Amino acid sequence: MSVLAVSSLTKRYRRGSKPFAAVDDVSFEINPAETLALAGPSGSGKSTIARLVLRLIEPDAGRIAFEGADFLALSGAALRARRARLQMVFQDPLAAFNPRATVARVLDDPLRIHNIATRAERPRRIAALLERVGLDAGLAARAIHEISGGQRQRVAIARAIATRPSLIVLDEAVSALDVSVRGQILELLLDLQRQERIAYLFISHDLGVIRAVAHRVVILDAGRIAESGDARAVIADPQSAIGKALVAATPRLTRSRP
Amino acid sequence: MTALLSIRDLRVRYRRDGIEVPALKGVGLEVVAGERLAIIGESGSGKSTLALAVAGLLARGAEIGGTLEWSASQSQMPRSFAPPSGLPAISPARGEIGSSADGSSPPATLEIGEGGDDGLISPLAGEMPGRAEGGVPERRPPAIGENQAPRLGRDIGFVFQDPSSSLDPVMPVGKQIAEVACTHLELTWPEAFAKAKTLLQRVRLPDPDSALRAYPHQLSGGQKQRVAIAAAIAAGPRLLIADEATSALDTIVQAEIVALIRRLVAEDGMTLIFISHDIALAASLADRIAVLRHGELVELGETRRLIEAPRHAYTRGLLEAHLGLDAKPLLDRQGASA
Amino acid sequence: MSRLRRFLSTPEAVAGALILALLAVMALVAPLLFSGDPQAIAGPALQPPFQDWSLPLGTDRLGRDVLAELFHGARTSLAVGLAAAAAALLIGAVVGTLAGFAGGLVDEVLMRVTDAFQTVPSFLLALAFVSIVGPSLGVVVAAIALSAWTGPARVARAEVLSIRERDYVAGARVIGMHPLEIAFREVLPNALPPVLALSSVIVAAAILTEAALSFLGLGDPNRVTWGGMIAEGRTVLRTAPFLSIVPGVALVLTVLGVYLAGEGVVESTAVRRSLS
Repeated sequence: MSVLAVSSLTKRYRRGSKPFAAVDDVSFEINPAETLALAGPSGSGKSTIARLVLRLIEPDAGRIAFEGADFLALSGAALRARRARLQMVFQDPLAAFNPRATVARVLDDPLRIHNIATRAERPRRIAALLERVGLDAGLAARAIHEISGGQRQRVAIARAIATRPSLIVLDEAVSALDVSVRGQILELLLDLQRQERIAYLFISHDLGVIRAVAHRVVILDAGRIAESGDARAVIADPQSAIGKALVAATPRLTRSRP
Repeated sequence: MTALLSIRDLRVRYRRDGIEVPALKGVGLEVVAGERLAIIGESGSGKSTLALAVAGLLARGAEIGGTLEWSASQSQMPRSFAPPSGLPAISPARGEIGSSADGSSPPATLEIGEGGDDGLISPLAGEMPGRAEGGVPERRPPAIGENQAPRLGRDIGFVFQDPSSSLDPVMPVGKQIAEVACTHLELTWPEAFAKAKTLLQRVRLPDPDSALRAYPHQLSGGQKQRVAIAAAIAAGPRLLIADEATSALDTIVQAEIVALIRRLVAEDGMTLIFISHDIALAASLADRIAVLRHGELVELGETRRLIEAPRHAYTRGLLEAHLGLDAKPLLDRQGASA
Repeated sequence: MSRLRRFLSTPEAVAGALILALLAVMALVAPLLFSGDPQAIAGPALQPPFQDWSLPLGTDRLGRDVLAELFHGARTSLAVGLAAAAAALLIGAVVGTLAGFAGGLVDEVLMRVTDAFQTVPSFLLALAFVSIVGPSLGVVVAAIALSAWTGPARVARAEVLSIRERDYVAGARVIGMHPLEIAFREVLPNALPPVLALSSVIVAAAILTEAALSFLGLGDPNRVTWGGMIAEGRTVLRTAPFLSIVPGVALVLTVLGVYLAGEGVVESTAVRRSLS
């Protein structure tokens, strides 16, 4: 059974006086421990889909089934409790945290809110989470703005896995990172996926990254699905015009293989 | 091969809350006239500091040392418009730019103080202006002749990463471009406006007539960056600096802007300094690549050589970290999939 | 540390801080220096200042020690000014945060209430409130706060409106945080700096409003206030002008001090912000 099943999802906005569909009749499924990538140019609706799936904004039409249950039917306390299973990592790790927060507080919040650990147990759990994402437990006392971008994104991942989710939405989660750090973060995500069987909805404009980590890809254009399928197959031989344009525009290192 | 710009032992330090942070630790390289040079590096490598130092745009409080030698013997007449003699010159120096362009003037050298003493704060360091283009009041060392030091906007065009913050949000884009032409080429306002229209055509903005009157918020990110490029080249600079000019754009628009820069540089015979964090993007555009790391020049070489036979381990690391469409997927490297 | 240095680097801020420090010392030592009831008769009536050194500023119409009254009046002015401003900022910040964060109907209702308060002249509002409930220190504080909370509410709402769209607020929702906790723990602390920048103006206005209420006889009758002293002196303005001038000068200096110090704080934090 799929972790997430989205069908006929639609979200309309008004641009000036005329309405336009930011997301238009989009359907897809994600299976446990699978990575589904959403690709497309800016304005194609990738981030809107992420926010719809997380119920940060409400759709105008369509259905979202999460872990087999109607996710759109939930509200209030029931919705907040369910959120433990569906987490998100943002693009800019600095903007994703309260500027006044410390690492410990950021990780303490989900443990407290979802009653995962008692107050006495939490420091130990926080240390374990930090170690799980490859950080020193001593980092807990530091302020978020004091640590490096790569460390911040690891803290964001630690926060996302604190509630043992079955799905994490990664919205351009590695786009702002240096390439060397990016590789390490992607390895960490794959490692977590293998061990915890977490599914990822991986949003990126970078086909190179998508090809490296995603099982399947959905290519969007102006809010609609242009094509979808096995990530490597689609990128090797795109059928849609937008897919071809994306592949053609990706910078290549043309060098003779050693 | 003649050097348009020689950078020797360039050192820049920022002072932040009383702590000195070195951004460049003695970088030396020559920018050859007419070449496309890419400067790549990760965050904190000092690549943007280098670009800002060359443009004289470093923030107040930055201490700079070393030499920036701008070869004035390369200077040329304003490309398309000779200064109309009847017009009052905005600055007496502006006329001299044209008259000194006889190919015989000596190179302008900025000797910037030695490290460590109080005289280190360079008069080159002006306040960072809010806009991308020229018309920016700069402070230059008095030792340099007005007609010899490169001027931002006139001799150097600068394109910033984020066009939404480098363009004035309450001024029509045509006016912003015309202002640069007007300031540096001593054109009348109608002439400058006509020039702005030509420039918008050259950067392939659809419907240049209505674009002239458009405000930045009415344009897409890619269109805004085209406008910023038009403004940067309005005065016919010899050097164009693009500082992460495509990083805020999506892949398709990025490819279009890179193609545009390539075409404009070729058409006008400009020299290009292309600052980027993306080694593959840099390699697709540049003749030579300089790799910076922690404020030091790690490797500099012709693009093909650097990509195929990197000499420095750091360059090799950058190449290996690149996830191209032909790289082996990480999914396979780990030997497991769902 | 560097922030304090920056604050003290402008002469205005130093002057303001000195005046406030002097005032605070006056308020603190008042009960020690003048331990008796400041409203007790201390000597002959209407003695001019600088005549008898046991009564340096002379006596008023009833023979009360003007210096003792001035010191005890400083207590009232400071207490009322600070308490009323704190209450106004608290009410304003809470209302503004709720309105900005909840949006929709809540926002609409709260902002219309704010409008209603803002359209009534604030002094009239305080006047009406005190004359209905009766004059006492607490009522005066409440009356002033009631007329001063709308400014902070509007500023807080505007700030919250921009902060609630940030990623970290979305992040807090994603981890399942309760909306009230998001509003008051994640959003409000980050919306406070511009609201607090209003505090010097509000404290100064509160001190003046309190003086005006006392002048009209609506202050706490059991306490000495500068406004009450001015009102007392008004009847003998021609024969003994110092009775009005002394508390008047104290009032002007206090408001000036609060304002200068407040500006200094805003200035030093503004520099800080532009540097970061």
